[in-house]
Amino acid sequence: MTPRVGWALAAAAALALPALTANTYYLYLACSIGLLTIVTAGLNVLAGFTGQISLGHAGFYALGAYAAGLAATRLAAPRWAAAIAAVLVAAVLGAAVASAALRVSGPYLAMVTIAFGIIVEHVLVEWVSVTGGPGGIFNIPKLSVGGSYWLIAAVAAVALWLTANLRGSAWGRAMLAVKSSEVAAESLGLSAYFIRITAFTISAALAGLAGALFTFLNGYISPDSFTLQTSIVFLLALLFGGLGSLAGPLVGATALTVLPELLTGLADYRLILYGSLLLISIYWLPAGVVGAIAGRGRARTAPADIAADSVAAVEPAAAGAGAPPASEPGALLGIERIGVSFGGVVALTEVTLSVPSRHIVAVIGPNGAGKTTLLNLITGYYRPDSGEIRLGGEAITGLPPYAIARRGVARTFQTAQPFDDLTVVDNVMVGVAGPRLGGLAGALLGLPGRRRRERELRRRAQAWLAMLGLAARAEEPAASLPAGLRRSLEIARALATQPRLLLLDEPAAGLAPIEIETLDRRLTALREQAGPAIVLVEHHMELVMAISDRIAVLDYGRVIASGSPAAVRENPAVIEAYLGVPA
Amino acid sequence: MSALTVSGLSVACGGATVLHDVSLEVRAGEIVSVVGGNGAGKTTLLKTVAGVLRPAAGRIAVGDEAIGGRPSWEVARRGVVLVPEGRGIFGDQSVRDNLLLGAVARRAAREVVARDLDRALDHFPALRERLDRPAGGLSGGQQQMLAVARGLMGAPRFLMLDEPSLGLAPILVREIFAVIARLRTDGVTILLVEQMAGQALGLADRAYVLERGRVTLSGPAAEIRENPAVVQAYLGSGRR
Repeated sequence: MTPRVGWALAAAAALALPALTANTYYLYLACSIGLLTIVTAGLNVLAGFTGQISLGHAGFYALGAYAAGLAATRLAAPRWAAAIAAVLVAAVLGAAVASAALRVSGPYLAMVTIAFGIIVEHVLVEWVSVTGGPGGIFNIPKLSVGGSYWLIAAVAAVALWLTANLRGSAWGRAMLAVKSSEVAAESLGLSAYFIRITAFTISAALAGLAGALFTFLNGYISPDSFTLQTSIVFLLALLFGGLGSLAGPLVGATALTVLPELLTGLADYRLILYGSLLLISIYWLPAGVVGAIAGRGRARTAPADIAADSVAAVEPAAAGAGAPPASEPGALLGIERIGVSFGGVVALTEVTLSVPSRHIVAVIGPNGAGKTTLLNLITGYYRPDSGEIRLGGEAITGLPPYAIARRGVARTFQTAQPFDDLTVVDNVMVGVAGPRLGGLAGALLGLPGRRRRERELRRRAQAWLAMLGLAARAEEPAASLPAGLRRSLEIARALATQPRLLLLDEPAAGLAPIEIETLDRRLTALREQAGPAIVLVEHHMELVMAISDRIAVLDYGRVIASGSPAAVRENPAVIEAYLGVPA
Repeated sequence: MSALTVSGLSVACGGATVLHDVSLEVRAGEIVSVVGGNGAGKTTLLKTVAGVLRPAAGRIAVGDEAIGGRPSWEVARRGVVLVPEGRGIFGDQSVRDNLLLGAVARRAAREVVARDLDRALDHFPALRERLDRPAGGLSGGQQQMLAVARGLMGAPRFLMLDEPSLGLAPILVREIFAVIARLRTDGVTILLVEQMAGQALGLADRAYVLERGRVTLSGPAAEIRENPAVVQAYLGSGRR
């Protein structure tokens, strides 16, 4: 079943249902599916796109429901105003909770959100003067079930449409990038923290909206509807339907609403049902129902082959917005006597190094000498204990990785870290866009300006892929690339940020000799096209000797030699520590 | 006698067929090198022999025993050891524990394991200095040494190495190749995948060239090394 047919069937079913039955029980059930779809669509942005789990979204659902209920009763506000109030309350509190909670991630975040949900539940019970306590709020002007059905169905459709737009935008790619590799995402100028807060806020807002609709549907709310179990059902619906898939929320919401109704006689065993569904998801449907269906279809479609010549005409150097800045007076990168130690082990001591614009400086040395540590210091992943790092005259010591990346420093990693959840071309598009994600509203609504920008990003990304020899694999998932091509992809992604300074950590590792010659030509060509200055950590001496302007040799965290390739090669200390006596 | 016989092997990953009808043989005591570009299927071949991936078709036998489709731990207990690409070390455990875990499948006496530990560390003095540190704190190259040393701890009869020189300094690359040569004199049979193809072919007895999942050439390593097509496709002008 293609996605298009699936959506058409779902829409047809939603439109036909009121004509088929006037039984309010079925309509109410359909409303419940819609509400759960809205919440899980939001949760999908958080868990499916950025990979963070919340077990407290019943709290935001409750905030929306009570905000709407209170606005409609105490303030006699019209429904639309009450709904807006609900969204705002949930979004603002969502952003606040996220700012505090997203200092942690993974299981710790799940625990913090459980605590949040429980706090909300208790406030609802205890703050009797406002919330009505355990008895809740009643006599809220409600909609007829039929009216609610159309409203909820429309909002659910819009929620799914918004998440689909988001997924196809620079924001969506940035979220998936953060999920795949936070470290790599930060190296492209993306703040993982900020992107996760955004995703969390979107999910809280949608939960709040669903809460308001829940209030209008029932006309009565009490804390019983917003327990930890509710939060678990939200997450379970998403996992069962398909984490990260666009239709997953709808499928999961339907299953999690209909199954318990079919088994009403077994109401006491509901938790066992949920537990069983969770186990089924994990064992047989790791990508959810939607993933299982889509996976079956995928095996038949061959990977799209992009003709290499269709993009080869675009010159990568011309593709960029602006050429890298002209050479500055003095060195582009200046490292002054930096030192760092980890748990009492000194990794680097008084390392001084400068890299002029357009130069290729190689850093070589024995394994464990501190080469990668040096790159991690320059890019902000580690903070030096002493010394200073300057880029173009500006001190960048101690700045976070994304801030350093935004100043024009790009890098690759010793173990390549492409974004496995994205296609090859999407990986490079994340690099082209960098932190310039455009307006969030435009991304959600899929505005025309955004589409034009998408095409432009894609065109530039294709040009970089062509340059690195990856054009034919543009539409494949990055996870399917063999190790050597993952490195090429990472270089393409780094270059796509148009850096002033590019740090390469063992780019030739895992490449066949002939592929290393290609790499050699590409790096040389970059320099001739006034590309970035390069710091090259590499063991392949022929490559190092061929392309470096200068070589620094590290051993036990100190620079033991530096100078021209010829001078370094003859240095006895270098031969002893690193090259060994040629056999 | 053959240590490893692979015949008609096909392997599919996620819908795409990565290996097509691959047949190869490694005789006892030989070093056989597999050469090929990125994406040729070299890593897939080793993983399938080790039982990490399941074959779609074909037969894999170690000695006389068919092992195709058996789980990796059963294969490992038959003395077939894979040193995987990407190291696969246990980062939270100490260097010593990583090495000792390499010997688990053998059920050997403690003194024997201690002796082998000592011998493995002789090859890589940098590891000896860091025996009680968590392996995750090692540099990338040191982790690669650890992966190879852990493979040696399995006292392999048949050792598969997937890019053992990856990320190692020149002085250590030489050491790795010396270790491989020494293993042969100890009677270990070796299947070697290595991007430093010139050096690998210099050491190997025989070689297979893998292209897009098919064996396109096989023969004595010396002949493969001089084959103009191989030189042009893989070795390049520098013959590295």
